[in-house]
Amino acid sequence: MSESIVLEIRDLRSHFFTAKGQVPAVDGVSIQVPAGKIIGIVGESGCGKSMTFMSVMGLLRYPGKVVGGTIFLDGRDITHLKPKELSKVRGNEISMIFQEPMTSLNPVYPVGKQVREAILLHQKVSKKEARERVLDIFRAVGISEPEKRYYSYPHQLSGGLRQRVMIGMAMVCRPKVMIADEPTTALDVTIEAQILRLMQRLCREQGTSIILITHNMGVVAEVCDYVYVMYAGKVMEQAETFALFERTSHPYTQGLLRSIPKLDEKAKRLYTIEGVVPNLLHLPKGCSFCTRCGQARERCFSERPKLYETEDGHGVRCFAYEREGVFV
Amino acid sequence: MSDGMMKDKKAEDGGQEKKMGEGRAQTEKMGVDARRVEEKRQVLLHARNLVKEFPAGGTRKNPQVVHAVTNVNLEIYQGETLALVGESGCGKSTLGRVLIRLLEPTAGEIHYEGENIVGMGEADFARLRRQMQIIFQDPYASLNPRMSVKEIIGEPLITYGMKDKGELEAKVRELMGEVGIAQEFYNRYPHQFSGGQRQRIGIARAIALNPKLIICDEPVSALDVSIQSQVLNLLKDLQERYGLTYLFISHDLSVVKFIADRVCVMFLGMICEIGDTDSLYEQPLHPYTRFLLNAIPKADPKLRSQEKELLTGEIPSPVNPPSGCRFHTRCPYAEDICRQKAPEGRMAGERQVFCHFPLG
Repeated sequence: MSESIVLEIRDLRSHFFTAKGQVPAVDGVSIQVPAGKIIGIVGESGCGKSMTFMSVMGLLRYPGKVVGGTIFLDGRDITHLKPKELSKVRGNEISMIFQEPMTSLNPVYPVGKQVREAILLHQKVSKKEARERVLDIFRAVGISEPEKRYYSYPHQLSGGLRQRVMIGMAMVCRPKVMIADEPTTALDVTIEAQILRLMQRLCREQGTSIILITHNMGVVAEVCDYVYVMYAGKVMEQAETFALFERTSHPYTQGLLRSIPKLDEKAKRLYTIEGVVPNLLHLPKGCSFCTRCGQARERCFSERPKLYETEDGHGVRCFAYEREGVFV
Repeated sequence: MSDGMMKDKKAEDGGQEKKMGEGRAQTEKMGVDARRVEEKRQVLLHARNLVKEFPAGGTRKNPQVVHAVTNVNLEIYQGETLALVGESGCGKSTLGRVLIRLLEPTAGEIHYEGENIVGMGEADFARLRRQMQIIFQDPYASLNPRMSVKEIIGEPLITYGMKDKGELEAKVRELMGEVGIAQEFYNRYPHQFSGGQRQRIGIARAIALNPKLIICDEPVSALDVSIQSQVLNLLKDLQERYGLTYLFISHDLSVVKFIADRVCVMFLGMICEIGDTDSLYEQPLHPYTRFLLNAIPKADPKLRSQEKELLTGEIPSPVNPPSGCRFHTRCPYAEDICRQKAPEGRMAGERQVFCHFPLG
């Protein structure tokens, strides 16, 4: 990847300190986000995909803690910023939207004012000017009748409109990076398609990089440029989207793709990955996928594989690809 | 009314013809037991002009109602999986619940094996109720946290008169085996299980009384992909073993494609299109079906370049549904008649479509 990197996460470790022991929710994750691209982060519940970016945003709360690694935003280390400095970055240079827009909006304020607040907080503009900016962004995210919607309360809007408001709020300060955590999971398919198209357009027009956290391989295939597949706190495979789907390498990614029912074929039975996601407190000693992997050998149970590079920009955490050399 | 009856009769005939054709194909393809195919043609349950409305405030003079289900006619055949698909608020869950009288219909009839169960007395209905079960979406909310697995699965058995403790334990353990829950979990509580295992417990409870019909209300929506495929396979296995009939409610069209024999697409309380799964996916006749199919993100980046036609706008309110065809506000092909007159069901082969200007 030769493009300029806006966000770089290097060997991030976030642990939860619970009564039962230390839980490695994020276990040495490295992610690079080039300018103006859409990066997909996929994995099942509990794989650490959300926690990675909660750590980036400084939103991890007790008992969670970042215990190692560095986060660079535009070349600047933001890992150890004080809360006050961090709040200048958050919402301004990097912003985040969540799955359920109803719970992320304040129910007792009109949505327009909530978006305006983001502008007033970060930029020296008059309230009138800020309102104009809000109306502009409402138009940009496809909210009809923005003047009327400005004074609507969250409960008066549909799920799709609320998510548009959230995206507007996240984009209004023209951040370098927007993190979208399952932004379409709570929406219907026809609305999901609209929101995905909107995010693609904003990415293209405003040059904002988007990190799309999702469990849906379809969403990834549809909009992402580059994909990271996570499992039990680690990146298992990373590649450009086309390479990932054409030359799927890690047994976990292969299993994941095969277990999705396809629209264009009638299967008698679905492929399944046996077993369940391991408890992070009692991870296997070797590869974290070894207990469910059909191709696991003796070595997989005792040693941890590194990320190996199978082709330019395609990394796989599996011993089967060891001869290819370590991913850098 | 008589006009409506005629139409229904036709629908039934058309459906039966198709079932025969499909039955033959299946026998050739997979060597399915001919008797099962024979059974499959029988209507297990059919709904006639079913209406469900919920009060939604308003004034006494001018009360408002949510039109959740409006004039639905539907047959479910013995041994098939009929999927009910549509976006949130289209009335698919309400319809599922009305069909087994978990909710009382506002109007209409439901015939189960030839008997009208609407308005049937509680004592009479109890005999049929054990033949109809339901599996819910959220395995976290549908199991009582204070009951152990043996109590959850055993409860319907006790309710329907199993008194002997030894017999009960044996039956519960057998059911646990059926759904793939290890025997040592007999005394455990729901919080000790993962989402997929909890859904298996819910399935064991549903099949405990040897039901004929199971309403599966989004049974895999809350599960991760790798667990989802395990549960879907389990549902298919159980259907084969016990000859179960499923009404499978889902918003996920890829899952429906895998599990369903026939699909019924709903929009805002009304049926848009009913037909055989493969042909409906291949050539949707109702514009809404086509938009739904188009909108699904496909797990193949090569398909992305194809410029997709997307639906604009949002789902209208079920309190004040649009006049005429309820889809006309979002439909690019709508004309005057669509705004004025609700489309009648018309048959196209085995397919029934409710549209003035069907595609294709």
